[in-house]
Amino acid sequence: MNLELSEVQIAIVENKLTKMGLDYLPLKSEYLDHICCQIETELGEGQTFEQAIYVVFEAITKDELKELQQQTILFTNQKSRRMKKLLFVFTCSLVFMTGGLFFLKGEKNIASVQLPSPEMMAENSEASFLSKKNLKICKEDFFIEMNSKNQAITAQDPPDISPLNKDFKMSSGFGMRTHPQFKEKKFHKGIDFMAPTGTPVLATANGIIFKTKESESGYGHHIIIKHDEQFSTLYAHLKDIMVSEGQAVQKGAVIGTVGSSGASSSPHLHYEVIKKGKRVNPMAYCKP
Amino acid sequence: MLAKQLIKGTLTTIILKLLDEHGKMYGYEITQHVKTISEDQLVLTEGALYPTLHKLEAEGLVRTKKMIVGKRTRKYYSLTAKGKKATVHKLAEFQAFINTMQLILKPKTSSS
Repeated sequence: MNLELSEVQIAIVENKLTKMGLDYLPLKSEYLDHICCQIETELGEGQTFEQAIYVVFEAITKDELKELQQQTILFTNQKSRRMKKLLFVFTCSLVFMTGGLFFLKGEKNIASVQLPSPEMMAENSEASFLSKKNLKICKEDFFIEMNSKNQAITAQDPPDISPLNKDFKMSSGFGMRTHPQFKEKKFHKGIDFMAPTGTPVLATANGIIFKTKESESGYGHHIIIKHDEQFSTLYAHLKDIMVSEGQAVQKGAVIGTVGSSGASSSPHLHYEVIKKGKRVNPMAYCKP
Repeated sequence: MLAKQLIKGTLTTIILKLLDEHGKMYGYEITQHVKTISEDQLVLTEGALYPTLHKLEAEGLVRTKKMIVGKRTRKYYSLTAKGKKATVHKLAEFQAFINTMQLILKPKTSSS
Protein backbone atom coordinates (compact mmCIF):
# COMPACT_ATOMS: atom_id res chain seq x y z
CA MET A 1 0.00 0.00 0.00
CA ASN A 2 1.26 3.43 -0.91
CA LEU A 3 1.62 5.53 2.21
CA GLU A 4 2.42 8.74 0.40
CA LEU A 5 -0.43 11.03 -0.49
CA SER A 6 -1.11 11.64 -4.16
CA GLU A 7 -1.40 15.10 -5.66
CA VAL A 8 -5.17 14.77 -5.75
CA GLN A 9 -5.27 13.79 -2.09
CA ILE A 10 -3.01 16.69 -1.14
CA ALA A 11 -5.30 19.01 -3.08
CA ILE A 12 -8.28 17.70 -1.10
CA VAL A 13 -6.52 18.41 2.18
CA GLU A 14 -5.43 21.87 1.02
CA ASN A 15 -8.96 22.67 -0.05
CA LYS A 16 -10.26 21.68 3.37
CA LEU A 17 -7.72 23.89 5.13
CA THR A 18 -8.55 26.85 2.90
CA LYS A 19 -12.22 26.40 3.67
CA MET A 20 -11.39 26.47 7.36
CA GLY A 21 -9.87 29.89 6.91
CA LEU A 22 -6.14 29.19 6.64
CA ASP A 23 -4.88 31.90 4.34
CA TYR A 24 -1.62 33.14 5.82
CA LEU A 25 0.79 31.92 3.16
CA PRO A 26 4.00 31.52 5.20
CA LEU A 27 2.10 29.11 7.42
CA LYS A 28 -0.12 27.45 4.86
CA SER A 29 2.26 25.17 2.95
CA GLU A 30 3.98 24.25 6.18
CA TYR A 31 0.74 23.39 7.93
CA LEU A 32 -0.47 21.50 4.88
CA ASP A 33 2.66 19.37 5.10
CA HIS A 34 2.01 18.82 8.80
CA ILE A 35 -1.55 17.63 8.25
CA CYS A 36 -0.48 15.43 5.33
CA CYS A 37 2.14 13.82 7.57
CA GLN A 38 -0.55 13.12 10.15
CA ILE A 39 -2.77 11.56 7.52
CA GLU A 40 0.11 9.44 6.24
CA THR A 41 0.75 8.21 9.77
CA GLU A 42 -2.90 7.14 9.98
CA LEU A 43 -2.57 5.39 6.63
CA GLY A 44 0.44 3.56 8.03
CA GLU A 45 -1.78 2.21 10.74
CA GLY A 46 -4.03 0.64 8.15
CA GLN A 47 -6.72 3.30 7.75
CA THR A 48 -8.16 4.27 4.39
CA PHE A 49 -7.62 7.82 3.15
CA GLU A 50 -11.22 8.72 3.97
CA GLN A 51 -10.93 7.40 7.50
CA ALA A 52 -7.57 9.09 8.01
CA ILE A 53 -8.74 12.48 6.80
CA TYR A 54 -11.77 12.20 9.05
CA VAL A 55 -9.72 11.35 12.13
CA VAL A 56 -7.16 14.09 11.55
CA PHE A 57 -9.66 16.84 10.80
CA GLU A 58 -11.83 15.89 13.71
CA ALA A 59 -9.02 17.00 15.98
CA ILE A 60 -8.77 20.49 14.47
CA THR A 61 -11.36 23.14 15.11
CA LYS A 62 -11.82 26.26 13.05
CA ASP A 63 -11.16 28.41 16.10
CA GLU A 64 -7.91 26.68 16.92
CA LEU A 65 -6.74 27.12 13.37
CA LYS A 66 -7.65 30.78 13.47
CA GLU A 67 -5.85 31.19 16.76
CA LEU A 68 -2.79 29.40 15.43
CA GLN A 69 -2.74 31.66 12.42
CA GLN A 70 -3.22 34.82 14.44
CA GLN A 71 -0.47 33.87 16.87
CA THR A 72 1.95 33.08 14.08
CA ILE A 73 1.30 36.39 12.37
CA LEU A 74 1.77 38.23 15.64
CA PHE A 75 5.08 36.61 16.39
CA THR A 76 6.40 37.17 12.91
CA ASN A 77 5.54 40.83 13.07
CA GLN A 78 7.81 41.24 16.01
CA LYS A 79 10.80 41.41 13.74
CA SER A 80 10.25 45.10 13.20
CA ARG A 81 9.65 45.50 16.90
CA ARG A 82 13.21 44.43 17.59
CA MET A 83 14.50 47.43 15.69
CA LYS A 84 12.19 49.67 17.66
CA LYS A 85 13.48 48.08 20.84
CA LEU A 86 17.07 48.87 19.91
CA LEU A 87 16.06 52.43 19.25
CA PHE A 88 14.32 52.54 22.58
CA VAL A 89 17.33 51.24 24.48
CA PHE A 90 19.45 53.83 22.72
CA THR A 91 17.06 56.60 23.71
CA CYS A 92 16.99 55.34 27.26
CA SER A 93 20.75 55.36 27.57
CA LEU A 94 20.73 58.93 26.32
CA VAL A 95 18.23 59.81 28.99
CA PHE A 96 20.37 58.09 31.58
CA MET A 97 23.36 60.12 30.54
CA THR A 98 21.47 63.33 31.10
CA GLY A 99 21.54 62.63 34.80
CA GLY A 100 18.63 60.39 35.62
CA LEU A 101 16.11 63.01 34.58
CA PHE A 102 13.99 60.10 33.53
CA PHE A 103 13.33 59.01 37.07
CA LEU A 104 12.80 62.50 38.38
CA LYS A 105 10.20 62.97 35.73
CA GLY A 106 8.71 59.63 36.60
CA GLU A 107 8.37 60.70 40.23
CA LYS A 108 6.68 63.88 39.17
CA ASN A 109 4.23 61.92 37.10
CA ILE A 110 3.34 59.81 40.06
CA ALA A 111 2.66 62.84 42.18
CA SER A 112 0.38 64.39 39.59
CA VAL A 113 -1.64 61.29 38.88
CA GLN A 114 -4.99 61.34 40.57
CA LEU A 115 -7.26 58.41 41.02
CA PRO A 116 -10.38 58.94 38.96
CA SER A 117 -13.56 59.07 40.98
CA PRO A 118 -14.82 55.49 41.16
CA GLU A 119 -17.92 54.57 39.26
CA MET A 120 -19.04 51.76 41.48
CA MET A 121 -17.76 49.65 44.30
CA ALA A 122 -16.54 46.82 42.13
CA GLU A 123 -14.90 49.15 39.68
CA ASN A 124 -13.42 51.07 42.53
CA SER A 125 -11.06 48.33 43.61
CA GLU A 126 -10.34 47.73 39.98
CA ALA A 127 -9.51 51.37 39.40
CA SER A 128 -7.10 51.68 42.26
CA PHE A 129 -5.51 48.43 41.27
CA LEU A 130 -5.07 49.66 37.74
CA SER A 131 -3.73 53.02 38.78
CA LYS A 132 -1.31 51.45 41.21
CA LYS A 133 -0.08 49.13 38.55
CA ASN A 134 0.28 52.01 36.16
CA LEU A 135 2.34 53.91 38.65
CA LYS A 136 4.58 51.00 39.19
CA ILE A 137 5.14 50.71 35.52
CA CYS A 138 5.97 54.38 35.15
CA LYS A 139 8.88 53.81 37.44
CA GLU A 140 9.94 50.41 36.33
CA ASP A 141 9.32 50.61 32.65
CA PHE A 142 12.95 50.93 32.00
CA PHE A 143 13.74 47.66 33.71
CA ILE A 144 10.80 45.90 32.20
CA GLU A 145 12.26 46.87 28.85
CA MET A 146 15.57 45.33 29.71
CA ASN A 147 14.17 42.16 31.20
CA SER A 148 11.51 40.97 28.85
CA LYS A 149 12.41 39.83 25.42
CA ASN A 150 10.12 40.79 22.58
CA GLN A 151 7.94 42.82 24.78
CA ALA A 152 9.52 46.17 24.35
CA ILE A 153 7.04 48.89 25.01
CA THR A 154 8.02 51.54 22.55
CA ALA A 155 6.30 54.79 21.79
CA GLN A 156 3.23 54.18 19.70
CA ASP A 157 0.73 56.32 17.94
CA PRO A 158 -2.17 56.98 20.27
CA PRO A 159 -5.28 54.83 19.82
CA ASP A 160 -7.20 56.26 16.91
CA ILE A 161 -9.76 53.73 15.74
CA SER A 162 -13.06 52.51 17.08
CA PRO A 163 -12.78 49.24 19.05
CA LEU A 164 -15.67 47.87 17.01
CA ASN A 165 -15.51 47.26 13.33
CA LYS A 166 -18.84 48.76 12.40
CA ASP A 167 -20.60 51.81 13.70
CA PHE A 168 -22.60 50.86 16.72
CA LYS A 169 -24.84 53.12 18.72
CA MET A 170 -23.13 54.78 21.61
CA SER A 171 -25.43 54.24 24.55
CA SER A 172 -23.52 56.13 27.18
CA GLY A 173 -20.90 58.82 26.83
CA PHE A 174 -17.96 59.93 28.89
CA GLY A 175 -18.63 62.03 31.97
CA MET A 176 -21.27 62.36 34.70
CA ARG A 177 -24.34 60.20 34.32
CA THR A 178 -26.88 58.27 36.33
CA HIS A 179 -25.69 54.72 36.50
CA PRO A 180 -28.23 52.45 34.76
CA GLN A 181 -27.99 49.72 37.40
CA PHE A 182 -27.13 51.57 40.57
CA LYS A 183 -29.30 54.64 39.80
CA GLU A 184 -26.74 56.97 41.30
CA LYS A 185 -24.92 59.90 39.77
CA LYS A 186 -21.46 58.69 38.93
CA PHE A 187 -18.65 59.59 36.66
CA HIS A 188 -18.61 57.34 33.62
CA LYS A 189 -15.00 56.64 32.86
CA GLY A 190 -15.45 55.43 29.31
CA ILE A 191 -17.98 55.07 26.55
CA ASP A 192 -20.45 52.29 25.91
CA PHE A 193 -21.28 50.86 22.50
CA MET A 194 -24.44 48.83 22.11
CA ALA A 195 -23.49 45.79 20.04
CA PRO A 196 -24.71 42.23 19.71
CA THR A 197 -23.00 39.48 21.72
CA GLY A 198 -20.08 38.04 19.81
CA THR A 199 -19.18 41.20 17.87
CA PRO A 200 -15.38 41.22 17.50
CA VAL A 201 -13.53 43.76 19.66
CA LEU A 202 -10.38 45.25 18.15
CA ALA A 203 -7.19 46.61 19.67
CA THR A 204 -7.22 50.35 18.96
CA ALA A 205 -3.43 50.66 18.71
CA ASN A 206 -0.37 48.41 18.81
CA GLY A 207 0.56 47.28 22.29
CA ILE A 208 1.13 44.56 24.83
CA ILE A 209 -1.70 42.81 26.66
CA PHE A 210 -1.18 44.15 30.15
CA LYS A 211 -4.00 42.35 31.87
CA THR A 212 -6.83 39.94 31.17
CA LYS A 213 -9.32 39.09 33.84
CA GLU A 214 -12.51 37.04 33.95
CA SER A 215 -14.25 38.82 36.76
CA GLU A 216 -17.93 38.22 37.43
CA SER A 217 -18.52 41.71 38.82
CA GLY A 218 -17.55 45.25 37.85
CA TYR A 219 -15.77 45.25 34.51
CA GLY A 220 -16.59 41.56 33.98
CA HIS A 221 -14.30 39.83 31.52
CA HIS A 222 -11.94 42.59 30.53
CA ILE A 223 -8.66 43.35 28.83
CA ILE A 224 -6.18 46.14 29.35
CA ILE A 225 -3.68 46.90 26.62
CA LYS A 226 -0.63 48.97 27.34
CA HIS A 227 0.31 50.83 24.20
CA ASP A 228 3.26 52.87 25.40
CA GLU A 229 4.41 55.06 28.28
CA GLN A 230 1.32 57.21 28.00
CA PHE A 231 -1.60 55.24 26.71
CA SER A 232 -3.53 52.21 27.86
CA THR A 233 -6.98 51.11 26.76
CA LEU A 234 -9.53 49.01 28.57
CA TYR A 235 -12.25 46.81 27.07
CA ALA A 236 -14.91 45.58 29.49
CA HIS A 237 -17.97 43.30 29.79
CA LEU A 238 -16.56 40.95 27.14
CA LYS A 239 -17.85 37.50 26.36
CA ASP A 240 -14.60 35.96 25.16
CA ILE A 241 -11.04 37.01 25.79
CA MET A 242 -8.91 35.88 22.87
CA VAL A 243 -5.49 37.10 24.02
CA SER A 244 -3.26 36.43 26.99
CA GLU A 245 -1.17 38.64 29.21
CA GLY A 246 2.17 39.62 27.77
CA GLN A 247 1.08 39.02 24.21
CA ALA A 248 1.85 41.66 21.61
CA VAL A 249 -1.09 42.85 19.54
CA GLN A 250 -1.28 44.93 16.42
CA LYS A 251 -3.77 47.70 15.86
CA GLY A 252 -7.00 46.23 14.51
CA ALA A 253 -6.34 42.71 15.84
CA VAL A 254 -9.35 40.93 17.31
CA ILE A 255 -8.77 40.59 21.04
CA GLY A 256 -12.19 39.44 22.22
CA THR A 257 -15.92 39.60 21.67
CA VAL A 258 -18.73 41.77 23.00
CA GLY A 259 -20.68 40.32 25.89
CA SER A 260 -22.51 41.32 29.02
CA SER A 261 -20.26 40.01 31.79
CA GLY A 262 -19.85 41.82 35.11
CA ALA A 263 -22.04 44.78 36.07
CA SER A 264 -23.92 44.97 32.79
CA SER A 265 -27.57 44.56 31.90
CA SER A 266 -27.32 44.08 28.13
CA PRO A 267 -24.56 43.23 25.64
CA HIS A 268 -22.30 46.24 25.14
CA LEU A 269 -18.67 47.22 25.03
CA HIS A 270 -17.37 49.58 27.69
CA TYR A 271 -14.23 51.21 26.32
CA GLU A 272 -11.77 53.40 28.22
CA VAL A 273 -8.72 55.30 27.15
CA ILE A 274 -6.23 55.91 29.94
CA LYS A 275 -3.61 58.56 29.39
CA LYS A 276 -0.89 58.70 32.03
CA GLY A 277 -3.17 56.98 34.53
CA LYS A 278 -6.11 59.32 33.95
CA ARG A 279 -9.28 58.44 32.11
CA VAL A 280 -9.76 60.63 29.07
CA ASN A 281 -12.70 60.90 26.69
CA PRO A 282 -12.35 57.98 24.25
CA MET A 283 -14.34 59.87 21.62
CA ALA A 284 -11.30 62.02 21.08
CA TYR A 285 -9.42 58.86 20.13
CA CYS A 286 -11.95 57.27 17.79
CA LYS A 287 -11.58 58.52 14.28
CA PRO A 288 -14.78 58.03 12.32
CA MET B 1 -0.19 14.52 30.00
CA LEU B 2 1.70 17.32 31.66
CA ALA B 3 0.00 20.57 32.56
CA LYS B 4 -0.13 23.14 29.79
CA GLN B 5 1.30 25.90 31.93
CA LEU B 6 4.39 23.87 32.72
CA ILE B 7 5.09 23.16 29.09
CA LYS B 8 4.55 26.72 27.96
CA GLY B 9 7.66 28.13 29.55
CA THR B 10 9.89 25.33 28.34
CA LEU B 11 8.72 25.13 24.75
CA THR B 12 11.50 27.26 23.31
CA THR B 13 14.12 25.28 25.22
CA ILE B 14 12.73 21.98 23.97
CA ILE B 15 12.66 23.09 20.36
CA LEU B 16 16.15 24.60 20.45
CA LYS B 17 17.55 21.48 22.09
CA LEU B 18 15.98 19.19 19.49
CA LEU B 19 17.25 21.29 16.60
CA ASP B 20 20.69 21.32 18.19
CA GLU B 21 20.69 17.53 18.34
CA HIS B 22 19.22 16.78 14.95
CA GLY B 23 20.53 19.56 12.75
CA LYS B 24 17.47 20.18 10.66
CA MET B 25 13.89 19.24 11.40
CA TYR B 26 10.40 20.02 10.15
CA GLY B 27 7.35 20.78 12.25
CA TYR B 28 5.68 17.40 12.26
CA GLU B 29 9.00 15.69 12.94
CA ILE B 30 9.47 17.86 16.03
CA THR B 31 6.05 16.96 17.43
CA GLN B 32 6.69 13.25 16.87
CA HIS B 33 10.12 13.41 18.47
CA VAL B 34 8.80 15.16 21.53
CA LYS B 35 6.05 12.59 21.80
CA THR B 36 8.42 9.64 21.52
CA ILE B 37 11.17 10.96 23.77
CA SER B 38 8.74 11.97 26.49
CA GLU B 39 6.95 8.62 26.26
CA ASP B 40 3.70 10.32 25.32
CA GLN B 41 3.82 12.56 28.37
CA LEU B 42 4.34 15.70 26.36
CA VAL B 43 2.16 16.47 23.39
CA LEU B 44 3.24 19.47 21.40
CA THR B 45 0.24 20.89 19.61
CA GLU B 46 0.53 22.74 16.31
CA GLY B 47 -1.05 25.70 18.01
CA ALA B 48 1.97 25.98 20.27
CA LEU B 49 4.66 24.77 17.91
CA TYR B 50 4.28 26.90 14.80
CA PRO B 51 3.92 30.29 16.45
CA THR B 52 7.07 29.49 18.46
CA LEU B 53 9.00 28.38 15.39
CA HIS B 54 8.03 31.51 13.49
CA LYS B 55 8.97 33.61 16.47
CA LEU B 56 12.38 31.96 16.71
CA GLU B 57 12.85 32.64 13.03
CA ALA B 58 11.90 36.30 13.45
CA GLU B 59 14.39 36.54 16.30
CA GLY B 60 17.12 35.11 14.11
CA LEU B 61 17.67 32.01 16.25
CA VAL B 62 16.64 29.58 13.52
CA ARG B 63 16.79 29.66 9.75
CA THR B 64 14.49 27.86 7.38
CA LYS B 65 14.94 26.03 4.13
CA LYS B 66 12.17 24.82 1.89
CA MET B 67 12.66 21.52 0.15
CA ILE B 68 10.50 19.50 -2.18
CA VAL B 69 9.83 16.13 -0.58
CA GLY B 70 7.71 13.79 -2.67
CA LYS B 71 4.88 15.95 -3.89
CA ARG B 72 4.97 18.55 -1.15
CA THR B 73 7.06 21.45 0.01
CA ARG B 74 8.59 20.87 3.39
CA LYS B 75 10.02 23.61 5.57
CA TYR B 76 13.10 22.61 7.55
CA TYR B 77 14.33 24.52 10.56
CA SER B 78 17.93 24.65 11.77
CA LEU B 79 19.85 26.71 14.32
CA THR B 80 21.80 29.81 13.40
CA ALA B 81 25.04 30.66 15.21
CA LYS B 82 22.99 32.95 17.43
CA GLY B 83 20.53 30.12 18.00
CA LYS B 84 23.32 27.77 19.08
CA LYS B 85 24.46 30.27 21.67
CA ALA B 86 20.91 30.79 22.86
CA THR B 87 20.48 27.02 23.21
CA VAL B 88 23.49 26.70 25.50
CA HIS B 89 22.21 29.59 27.56
CA LYS B 90 18.64 28.30 27.71
CA LEU B 91 19.71 24.81 28.73
CA ALA B 92 21.96 26.13 31.47
CA GLU B 93 19.17 28.35 32.68
CA PHE B 94 16.71 25.47 32.69
CA GLN B 95 19.13 23.14 34.47
CA ALA B 96 19.59 25.77 37.15
CA PHE B 97 15.82 25.99 37.45
CA ILE B 98 15.51 22.22 37.85
CA ASN B 99 18.18 22.25 40.53
CA THR B 100 16.36 24.96 42.41
CA MET B 101 13.05 23.15 42.11
CA GLN B 102 14.68 20.02 43.46
CA LEU B 103 15.94 21.92 46.47
CA ILE B 104 12.42 23.05 47.10
CA LEU B 105 10.71 19.74 46.49
CA LYS B 106 13.28 17.43 48.03
CA PRO B 107 11.91 15.93 51.23
CA LYS B 108 13.86 17.16 54.21
CA THR B 109 16.24 14.48 55.48
CA SER B 110 16.14 14.60 59.21
CA SER B 111 19.58 15.45 60.47
CA SER B 112 19.04 14.03 63.91
